[in-house]
Formats: sequence, structure tokens, C-alpha cells
Amino acid sequence: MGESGARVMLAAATALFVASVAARASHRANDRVATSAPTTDNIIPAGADRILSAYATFPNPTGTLAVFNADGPVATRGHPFFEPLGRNGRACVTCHQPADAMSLSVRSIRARWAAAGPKDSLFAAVDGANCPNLPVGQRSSHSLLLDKGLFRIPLPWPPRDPAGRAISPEFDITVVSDPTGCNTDRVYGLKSSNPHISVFRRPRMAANMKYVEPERPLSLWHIRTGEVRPLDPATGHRLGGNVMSDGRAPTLIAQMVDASRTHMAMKGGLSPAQQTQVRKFLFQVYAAQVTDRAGGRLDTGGAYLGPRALRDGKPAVVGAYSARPMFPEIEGWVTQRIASSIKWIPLVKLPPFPATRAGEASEAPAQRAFRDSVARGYLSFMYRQFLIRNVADLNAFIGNPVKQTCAACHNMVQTGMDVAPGYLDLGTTTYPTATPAPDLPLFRIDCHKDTPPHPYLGREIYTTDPGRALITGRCADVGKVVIQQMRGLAARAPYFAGGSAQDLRAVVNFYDTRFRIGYTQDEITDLVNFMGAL
Amino acid sequence: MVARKWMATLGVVISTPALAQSLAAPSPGRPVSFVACPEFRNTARQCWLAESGGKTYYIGAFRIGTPPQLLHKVLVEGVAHDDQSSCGGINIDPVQISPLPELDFSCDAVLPDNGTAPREGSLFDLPPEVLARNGGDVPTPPPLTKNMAFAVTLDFDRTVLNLVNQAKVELIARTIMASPVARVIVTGHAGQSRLDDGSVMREAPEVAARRMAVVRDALIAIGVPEKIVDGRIADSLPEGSSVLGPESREVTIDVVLARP
Ligand code: HEC
Ligand code: HEC
Repeated sequence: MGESGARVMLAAATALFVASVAARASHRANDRVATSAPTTDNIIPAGADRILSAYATFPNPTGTLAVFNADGPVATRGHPFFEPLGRNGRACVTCHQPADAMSLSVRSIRARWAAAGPKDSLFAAVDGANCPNLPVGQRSSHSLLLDKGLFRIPLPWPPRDPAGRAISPEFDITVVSDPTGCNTDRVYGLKSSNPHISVFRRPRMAANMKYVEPERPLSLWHIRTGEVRPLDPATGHRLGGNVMSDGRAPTLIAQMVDASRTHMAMKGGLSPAQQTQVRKFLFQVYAAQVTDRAGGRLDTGGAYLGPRALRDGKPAVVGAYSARPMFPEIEGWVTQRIASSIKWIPLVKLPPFPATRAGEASEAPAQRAFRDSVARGYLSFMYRQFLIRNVADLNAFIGNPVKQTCAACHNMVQTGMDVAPGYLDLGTTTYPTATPAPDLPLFRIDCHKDTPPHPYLGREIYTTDPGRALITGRCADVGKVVIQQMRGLAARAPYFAGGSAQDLRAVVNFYDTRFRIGYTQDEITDLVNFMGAL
Repeated sequence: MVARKWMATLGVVISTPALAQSLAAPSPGRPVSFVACPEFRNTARQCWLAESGGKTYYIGAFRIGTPPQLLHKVLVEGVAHDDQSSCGGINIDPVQISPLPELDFSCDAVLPDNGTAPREGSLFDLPPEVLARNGGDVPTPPPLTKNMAFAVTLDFDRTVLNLVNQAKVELIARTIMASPVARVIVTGHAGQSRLDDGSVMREAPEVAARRMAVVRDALIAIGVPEKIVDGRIADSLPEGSSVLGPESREVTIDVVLARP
């Protein structure tokens, strides 16, 4: 056998070995999820007296997450984010835990239930139970929080405009099925004297906020809806519209006042001084994954993932459409070898990549397999084309169907949010595309004849959460959910606003079915590894 | 005509390819106006076709703004050039596309790649005016010296301002804000279109009010003082009116200057 033949053999053997390590690594990752015992060690209770250091790391099923306070250590005592200011013993931190990427994982929710049961204020009846009228302390009363990490969000019906006046909605809403009993309840329901609709949603990350509420949004217009972005009276800036899954709070200040009144039962809400302090905290706290159990550190070998890069990044930059790198922190791991190994069709010709990455020769096999997999997943996210269809308002804006990539929607550099802004009816809460959820309420929406219909669902729609339409009263907004940032994912399963994807694999499977992409198992693993590294 | 002259000024500012072409010297062609299911050809650069009167027309590639939609019929209005073709269809240029709002499940054709469309070209591109304005504002236009009438043409039966109309409305608002204006009268129209088969398609009357509100709210949100803006709804066009086609579905903006 000649030298070159031997090298081919060696390369093939290495590839096989690396692939099997990667496969084992991913199996082990799944095992870990199932077996490692959840603890409350890293939970910060409301009112705790702690110092949150400038850079703190927390373990999660696939590695560690880092929380970085750019302004230095934070003393929790007396701090309005950490103090129980309302009547139910809760603080912001009750639902936005550093160890869970300033959101909340079902793992830690279950650990808290196991440790303290309903005595943990997290389970307060107001929204930590399926309905406040249920018997406190029984698991079944809190099943949505314990099973899917969902809090009850009661929204007034009909919706109110920013001045508090009732909006005349374009549709009628009927409760078809009400497993929690809350939407048909005499006190809390749609037919009560103070009509509300209860939907159930995941907490969103309270970190990396400069991307969620950028000081300088992309343009004057919501380019897809053709409306002018509202002005923030406090700053005079145009608002991005990416706060909360239905965009109901125009600003973070409005959001936190609302949160303190509702989640925390705080009469009058946060004082202006407290608002300023919380806002300041939110704008200096960054969270992202920093190590992977199989792959090691995520900020070596040419990559620089982690929260510091988020501090240094520029908000509201569009990646996808201008072909700027979506996650520049990962680019360093992409080599020509990886780019030429892909078997799918890229949307555009891939740019050239270097032959090797920093320190590649000394990578351990498992590390090499992991970095390759993340790099392939990243390329897939940014370049693998598929036909996106029937997504309001994306397709109305660029064609239905349109040949695009994951990054068409997740287009903001470093966070994967949507600059446009992000409310889209991806179909996570509207049937027939929603993952069946018999534990959630089911609503029927009947849009009035003289109003523009939903572009792909028409005038009779079944949904578990009408999303943006509960705020605007518009038929065409049914099912629209604001895209979350894609950081710290490993620390905060489950995913999607309704908690319908229990892990990242389920997220990818949803897209695979929704858009008939045809991913191979290896491609799915690559996407999962890529997202887990963020 | 005022509107035409203003369009020419605007062309410099927003120059989308379609608009630039429509302002260039017209090449001979025949006007077409028809309703059909759009067909999506899944080529590298993806393209849209539509059939009418036994002919296949090319109605565009990847486009931002008001692109064709499967599950919806589309009203196609423009000038067909029988000697030019793309993607296996006769070119229509300029072309105005109005996806009709109601669902139509018979429009679901995804055709395979048959090599008729160019493989080159980036799908990532946003129109240059959008990228150029990334975060920036339109420069302040010169103040008006006499009363002026502006018009924004909307897609059939639709009330959303597409990208081109967003740029137009922004320029109109900034012009008003830079001028000594006494009143702004925003009037919404519901229009009609004559199709090639001789029939006339009329818009739903309620779009007139919605359109007016969309443009009025946008002007105010950009910074035109609410108290000088007056919203009106035009009487619907009388049956048999000779105003047919896109120009019948306008929102007109009449700007009345304060007397010095
Ligand atoms: C009971 C749990 C709970 C408490 C307490 C709570 N939140 Fe939240 N938070 C949520 C949920 C649930 C959402 C998502 C709501 C939605 O999307 O409709 C959310 C959303 C947010 C968001 C939006 C992030 C984004 O990307 O859209 C921020 C910021 C936030 N919370 C900060 C706070 C602050 C500050 C406090 C204290 C004043 C607080 N939260 C108290 C549960 C909570
Ligand atoms: C058509 C637009 C669109 C495309 C394409 C798209 N997404 Fe999403 N994505 C969304 C929307 C909208 C949400 C929020 C949905 C919700 O919460 O219910 C979302 C949410 C997510 C989330 C959940 C984040 C969280 O915090 O819960 C992940 C992860 C994700 N997408 C990954 C992907 C991947 C991977 C792809 C490519 C296979 C992709 N997305 C393609 C629109 C899109």
C-alpha cells in the first residue's frame, strides 16, 4: 500500500472513530438528562443574602453556563430583582434564575417542588398553578408548571390599547376545551365579570437585554406589517418590539412594572428608583453556555462563545440576509474540510473557510468530533435550504413558499432573534401544525367576515394560544409568537413559548415535520450540538 | 401631473429595480390584467409563474414586499413582452402583484426544477434601499412651497404598506414635517380593476377606511402632528367608472400649506 493509500485508510478510520465517539457522546448526553439527580443547590431564593460574582458558572445537563455581570459582583440583599417586594413572597429571581440562563428549566422547577413543594413561592396560586381556584399543594394543581415549565398568563378580553381603552376585536373566541378549568371559571374565565383569557407560557431569558431592547432598532418600520415602530417616550428611540412572546409590553420598564404587579402581587408595582435599578441590572447581565461535557471549553480553538462576547457584540445587526456570520463566535471552528463534507444543498455558495482551526492537531478525538459537529450544525442553520411555507407574516413578505434557511427567521447576529421584529405564526400554537397538547386550553377563533383573514388559516382557527392576536385583536395575528433569543438553551429546557418541545431534538423534529426538510439523524445531532453550545 | 413628477423624485430615493424600470423609456408590450393561481418553480433561484389565456407568464423571482402566495390567487397587472421570457414564462414588466386575501386551496403548485431559471444570484439580498437605511433615516426633504397632492397605491383588496410604500409614506411625512402645513387630508379609496376577459373586479368597500387609517396612523407615528391630519373615505366608485386598475386603489394625501 502506498503512502497516500495508507493516509486515506487512516483518515477513514479516524472519521469512523470520531463518528462513533460523537454518537456515544450524544447518547451519553441523553442518559445524563435522564439520570443526573436535579438539585436546588444553585437556586437563589427570593430575599437571599448572596453575592452573585462577576463571572459565575453553573452546571447543566450538557455542560456549564456562565452568567457574567459586566458591572461587577451583585449583592442580592436589598436589590429589587432579588427581594420579595410583593405579597406572595416572590422576586424576579424566583422565575429568572442565573443557573437556568435567567429563565427557568423544568428540571429545577421539579427539584424545587421535591424540596419544598408548594411552600416555594414559585408555585403561588396566582400563576404558578393551572388556575388559582385549584387546591393548593396538590401536584395536579401545578401540572403545567411541573410538566412543561408554564406559567399562567391571564390577559384581558377584549384587549386594551396602550391608553387602556377596549379594542374591538376582529374575531370571536370560544373555549373548546378547558383542562385547567380557568377559562370557563366564574371568577377567572372568559365569561366572568372581569373577562380574561388564560394562556400558559415559558419565562423568557432576563439577560442579554441589549439585544432584546436595542437602543437603536433597525428602521422606522416594522417592515413586514408595514406599521411604524412606536416611540419609547423615555428615550425617544423607536422600539424593537421583541419583548415578551406577544410583544404586549412595548418596553422593558412596562414589562417589569407589569411583572411586579401580576407575578409578584406588588401593589402599585416597582417604584421608579427600583425600575431604574432593575433595568440597569438587566442590561449588564449576560448569559451563555461556556463548556460542553464532551467538547470542553467553547471559547478555545478559534471559537469565542460565552457571555463576554455578548457584552462586546452589537445589537440588532442582521446576519442572514446580508450573509454576515450569524454567530461569529463559532466561525473559527469551521474549516474547509467541514464545509466540503456537507451533503445538503446550501442556499448560496459557501464562503471559503481556512484549512485548519487553531490547535486542531492537538484536539482529543471527542473534542474534535464535537467541534466538527457544532460547525456542521452552524452551517446547516445558516445555509441549509428548505421551503418555508404558511408562516404569517414571513411568507407574505418574501413569498409563500420561500426557499430559505433557519436564519431567515432567526436573523439577528449573536442571538438568533428576529430583527423585523419577531412575531411570526410558526405554527407552534395553531393547529394543524401544533404538537397536540391535551393539557392546554383549546380556543376556536372565528374571524368576522369583513376583516382580513389569517393568510394561511383563514377565518376559523384552532389554537392553544392566540399569541399576538390577544393584544391586537386582529385575526391575521392569531398564533404569532415573538422569537426568543437562542442563548443559554442547554440550561433552560423545554422550548417554544408553550413548552411544546421537551428538548432540542424535539425542536429540530418540529421543523423537520413542519417544513418537510428531511434531516438525517446525524444532521439533527449536529443542530442539537450547535444550539446546545450557544 | 403632480403625482408623476413626484414619483420621479422618489425614484432617485428608493430606486427599486421594478420602479426604476417602470420609469425608464417603455418598451412596446401589451397590457395584461388577470387573476390566476401563482405557481412556484423550485429552481435554484426560485421563480413564480402564472397562467392566463393559454399562456404562461413569468411574474418574478425571490421578491420582498408583496410576493405571490400559494393558497391565494393573485391579481397580476402589467405589461407583457411576448419576445422576452424567463423561467419558461413570458415576462411581464412592470408587474404589479396583488395576492387576494381569501384562501384558495386549489393554488398549491410547486413545480420541480427544470433548468429554466438562472442558477446564479443571491437569495440573501435585501433591496439596497433597505440595507442602506439600516438604522438610518431618510434625509430631510426640502420644504414645500405650494400645496401638493401625493398618492400611495396599494395592492388589490389589501391594506398593508409594502416596502416601497413604506419608503413613500416616510418621505411624504418628512416633507410635511419640513413644511409650514395647515392641513393634511388623507383619503382612502376602494377601487376596481378590469381584467383581460372584460370583467371588472371591485375591491371590498371597507378597505377604503382601513387604508386611510393605515396611512394616517403612519404619518402621525412618524411625527406629523395629529391635530392637522384629517382622515376621509372616498365615496365608492360608481358602477361603470372609467377609473380602472391600480390608480383606483390609492390613498391620496392632500397637503395644504398655512398662509404666510
Ligand atoms: C412568576 C414568574 C415570574 C416572575 C416573578 C417574573 N417573571 Fe419575568 N417572565 C415570566 C414569564 C412567564 C415571561 C414570559 C411572558 C410572555 O412571554 O408572555 C417573562 C418575561 C420576562 C422578560 C421578557 C424577556 C424577553 O426576551 O421577552 C423579562 C425581561 C422579564 N420577564 C423580567 C422580569 C423582571 C424584571 C421581573 C421582576 C420585576 C420578573 N420578570 C418577574 C415569569 C416571571
Ligand atoms: C419561519 C420562521 C422560522 C424558521 C425558518 C425557524 N424558526 Fe425557530 N422559531 C421561530 C419562531 C416564531 C419561534 C418562537 C416559537 C414559539 O416560541 O412558539 C422559534 C423558536 C425557536 C427555538 C426556541 C427557543 C426557545 O427559547 O424556546 C429554537 C431553538 C429554534 N427556533 C430553532 C430553529 C432551528 C434549528 C431552525 C431551522 C431548522 C429554525 N428555528 C427555523 C421561527 C422560525
